Amino acid sequence: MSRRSLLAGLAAAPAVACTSSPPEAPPDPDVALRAAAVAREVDLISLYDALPPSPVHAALRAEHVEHLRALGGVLPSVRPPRPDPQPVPAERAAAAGHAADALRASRELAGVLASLAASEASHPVALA
Amino acid sequence: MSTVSLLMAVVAAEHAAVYGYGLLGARLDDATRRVAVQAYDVHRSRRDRAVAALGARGVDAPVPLPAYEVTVADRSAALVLAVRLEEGVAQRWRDLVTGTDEPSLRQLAIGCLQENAVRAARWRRLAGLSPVTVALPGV
Repeated sequence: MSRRSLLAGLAAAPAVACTSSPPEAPPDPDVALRAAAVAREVDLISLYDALPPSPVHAALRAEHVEHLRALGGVLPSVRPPRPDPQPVPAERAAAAGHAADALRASRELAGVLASLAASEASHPVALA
Repeated sequence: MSTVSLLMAVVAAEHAAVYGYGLLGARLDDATRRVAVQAYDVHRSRRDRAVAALGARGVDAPVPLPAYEVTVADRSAALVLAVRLEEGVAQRWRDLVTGTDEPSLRQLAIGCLQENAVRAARWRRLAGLSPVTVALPGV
């Protein structure tokens, strides 16, 4: 390599560095897992809103609101109606979803999802 | 906290649960005692899984204490103790969830936490405690 081409190469290097895009960080898997968990909780809250009022339903709904808060989620003011609400299978499905996602989540989110899964696994006891 | 330390804490909590269930069954009627015996068996099994996980790491598991400071005067106290045992063990399993990236161990911990929460809810219901469930078991 000649001295001239070496200098030209050095001069060009910063320009290359400035014009190329920085490497993209891999997507955080927690983002999608958290969003899925929030969707499950919003769906369960909508389900309890569609059930006849009762102290048990109110208590379980309140726990789902707490779950939503633990996930950093917000309850949408407008939600689709929840026809034919069946709380026991819905709770079990949500518990299974949270538990499965807890296996793939970061440690911090896994703890939250595991507690949510445990809470929802126990809700059929209150509904029995 | 290391996975080993968390497993040691799980074993210690499960030892206490096994001891407690062995004690409280005497204060329960036959039907409820059968539920307690099932819980006793499950906790022994879970303890043994945690002991095996420690053994796989070349670590000796903690042994049970000679005795635990607990008295069970009557049925009501027995049911409340059962709730406390489940809640105590749940904390240790949840700690393990947040302290390991090992899939099989995390799966075990998640499953145990769920079982603890279900049993705790059943005991609260039998004890007449309200609410029957909690929002964040193990926290």
